Amino acid sequence: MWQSLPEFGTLVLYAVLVAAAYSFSQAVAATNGRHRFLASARLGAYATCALVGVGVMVLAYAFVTHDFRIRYVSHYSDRSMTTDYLIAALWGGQDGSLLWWSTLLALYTAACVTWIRGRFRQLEPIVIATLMAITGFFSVLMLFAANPFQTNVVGAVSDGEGLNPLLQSYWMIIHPPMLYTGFVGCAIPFAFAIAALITGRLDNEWIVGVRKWMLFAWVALSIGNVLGMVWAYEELGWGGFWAWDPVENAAALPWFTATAYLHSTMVQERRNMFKVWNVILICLTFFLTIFGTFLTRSGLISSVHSFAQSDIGVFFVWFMGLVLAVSLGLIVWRLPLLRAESEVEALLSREAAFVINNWSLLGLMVFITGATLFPKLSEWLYNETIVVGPPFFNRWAAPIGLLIFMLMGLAPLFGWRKTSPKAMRRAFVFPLVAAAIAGVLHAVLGQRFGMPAFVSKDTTAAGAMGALLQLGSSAAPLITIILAAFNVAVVLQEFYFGVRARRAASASQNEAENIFESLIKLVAKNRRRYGGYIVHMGITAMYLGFVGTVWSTTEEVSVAPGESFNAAGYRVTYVAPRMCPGGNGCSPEEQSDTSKRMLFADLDVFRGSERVARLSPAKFIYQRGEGMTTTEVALLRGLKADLYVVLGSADPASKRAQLQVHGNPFVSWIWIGVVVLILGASISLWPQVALGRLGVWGAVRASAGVTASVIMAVTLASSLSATGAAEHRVSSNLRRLHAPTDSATSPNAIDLKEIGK
Amino acid sequence: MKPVVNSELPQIQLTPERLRLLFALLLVAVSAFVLVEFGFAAWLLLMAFTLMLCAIGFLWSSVTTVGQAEDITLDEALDLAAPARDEERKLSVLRGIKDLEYERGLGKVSELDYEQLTQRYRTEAKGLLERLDTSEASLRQKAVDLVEERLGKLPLAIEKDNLA
Repeated sequence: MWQSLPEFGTLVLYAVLVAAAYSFSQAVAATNGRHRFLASARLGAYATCALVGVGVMVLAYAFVTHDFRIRYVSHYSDRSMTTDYLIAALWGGQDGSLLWWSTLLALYTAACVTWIRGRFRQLEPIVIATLMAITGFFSVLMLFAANPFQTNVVGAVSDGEGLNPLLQSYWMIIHPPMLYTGFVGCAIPFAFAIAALITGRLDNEWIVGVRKWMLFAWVALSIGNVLGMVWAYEELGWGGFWAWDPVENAAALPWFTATAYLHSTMVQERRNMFKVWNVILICLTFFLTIFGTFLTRSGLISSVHSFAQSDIGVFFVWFMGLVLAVSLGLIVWRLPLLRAESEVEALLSREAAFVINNWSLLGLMVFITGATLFPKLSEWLYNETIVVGPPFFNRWAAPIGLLIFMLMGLAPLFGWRKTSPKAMRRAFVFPLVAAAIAGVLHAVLGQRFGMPAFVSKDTTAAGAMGALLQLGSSAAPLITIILAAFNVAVVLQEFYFGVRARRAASASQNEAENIFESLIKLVAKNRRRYGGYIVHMGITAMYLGFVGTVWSTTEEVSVAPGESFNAAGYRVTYVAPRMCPGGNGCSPEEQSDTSKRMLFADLDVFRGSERVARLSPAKFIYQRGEGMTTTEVALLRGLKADLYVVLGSADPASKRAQLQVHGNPFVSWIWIGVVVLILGASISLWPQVALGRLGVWGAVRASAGVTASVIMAVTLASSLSATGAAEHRVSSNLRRLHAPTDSATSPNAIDLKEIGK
Repeated sequence: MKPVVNSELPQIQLTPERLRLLFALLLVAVSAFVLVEFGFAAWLLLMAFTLMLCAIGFLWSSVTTVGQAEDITLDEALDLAAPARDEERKLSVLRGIKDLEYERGLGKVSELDYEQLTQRYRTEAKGLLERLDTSEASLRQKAVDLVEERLGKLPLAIEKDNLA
């Protein structure tokens, strides 16, 4: 067994391909209504999923037992790595991440095949066939382009090269799986859309059915993207959380279309409209998940996040072509059935707000895609590479983002079809008053608290558009604060109206309820609506975090031991440098860590006269990777602002330290926002089931669901607070994170080694 | 006083649902034991082995299912009873009425719009219910006939026991 483990793994991948092909054919045969074939396809799909599970277990076993005959294992792990990082290495590189993708797809497929039974009889065969086709594609990819079980040409090596230190982070353990969970989850709605288009069952029930699948995927995508931000913020050390890197952008693209779909689907359910919109958004979301994967792995666009260059891009191009051709062909074929049964009757209606919302989100997605691909497009068109940087992205994405933010507040205020003047007055008075008060307060007091309402921004665009952009960019902080207040007021008002209506109804039936009872029952009876409003609150908090970047401060500080400086509302005193292991004041863990040398600069942070924290930004010099150097950020979180310190260098003779100090206002609100978002989405996802009718499996599933959502939110919240004054490493050399570490070189390594002496 | 001993213990039927639950519980117990006694690597092997057994079992069932020629099972019959197009439309319309009532309660729909929309929904729902009733009447009768025919074949003793 031991001698043949790599071959066994490859054999399992072949078995996956064969089982997927078999299940696909059975499912296609079942489309004629032959029940036996459908039952057979179902069992075949389960078998395929189980085989994928075998594959990932075998690879995990190879990692845990250090089977360095396997090239992937030797490239992404070494004997010093702990078990959690050995498991994280499963998705640390290209080949393994494809297997991980297949594993998640298998889990989704098994859940979907179980769930769909008896619900959508006509759609079921095509849904299974589509999912099996996608599984088949990934197994072909692994077998013929990126086999995670491929052995080293030179045989087993004595030790592996290890996982890139930047990836040895808590966030890296959970960020990729979460992002993949979101990406892969979009395959289920896509399979339904293809099935509905092929069978012509394009009425509303299938879209109600897939809504929760898409919502689940959307939540995972949201969390995955935010975890990516946390990782970039804590690990990359440039002071921000979003750099418009191509791979970051690629991960966000499906989020926009999925968000548009989640709103658009409500219009189809209620008004039988937007059918074309919805199938296009579902297919586009799935396409963008594949496109994002292609962008990360093909090496088409240069990015610090990219995997090592490989030739799997051509496989993705063919697959994307197939997805596009099949989706578009089916949509065009079924256009007569997709015609709306009614139309938008008034501009001041919820339908109209959703149309604008769809176009805005789609526009933002197209803009980001275009700007991300612009270096390659310019190369093709003009024969020169033109790179667009973060200022360009910010200039155009900010206005569209604010438009979407405004629509988020407006849409709930409108009624379906049209809104009467009386209803408009009733709905708008409170939110507008709240927004106006917030705007005035911000304009008057903002400057005093270091958060001015207007900031100076230069735009390169000329003419009227340039002037408009200039004005919009300068006033962006004020507009954001006004819209945030408006959104919060809208949500509070919706809850208030709901509770009031419920209390009035219960009083008329002589079953009077108090406010809290009404509130709980209101949410329990309308989980989707009020869960959605809570999600809006989370998004509002995140917008606050985004706008905080315009007030952020950065300064370079050179200090000798005992000297102090002020930053982000704190007084910071530099104590002394410290070298571990071996130096004074090192913790037992630092003393025993022989894999690297660590240079710290200890800082005491005071609020007034009270010492609130000790921060220790650092440089780490790793023994492996030719002395790869990383920089550890020290971070003190706060609701108003984060104090973020990066160690540039420390002079061994004078002990003077060069520090980069950032004050980042409101960043914590992004992380708070995502926790609120998870809470809201969990309420929306909660199934409408009477507890008494659950049964054993139902109870187990319900408990697992509750536990998972609670653990997810609590883990996220607690880990963010636990790392309140933690250090985080930063690469001092720009290199591909997922590439094997043997390619690492560090221009700073020599200087730091000197300091270490 | 002599205790009354019931010689006929209640028989626990091993339904597929119970078997699955039993299998899951057994797997959890064994995997916990292996994890504690033999470590994580052995646990991974156990999982791989279990999944491989499941894969073989599923594939075997899948292949044999196609070849089976007996009557349709109850599960399969229930599968086939998935909602028809009109049934789905009915659900959609009923949901629309419920939403409309809710929006009216919140004051987001004017009385005029409410009257127009609710009238439209109710007319459609009525038509759908009538159509469903008509289209399903023959099927319902057929089901009743089949059940009666099947019950007629059962031994009389069982029926009497059940009645008693």
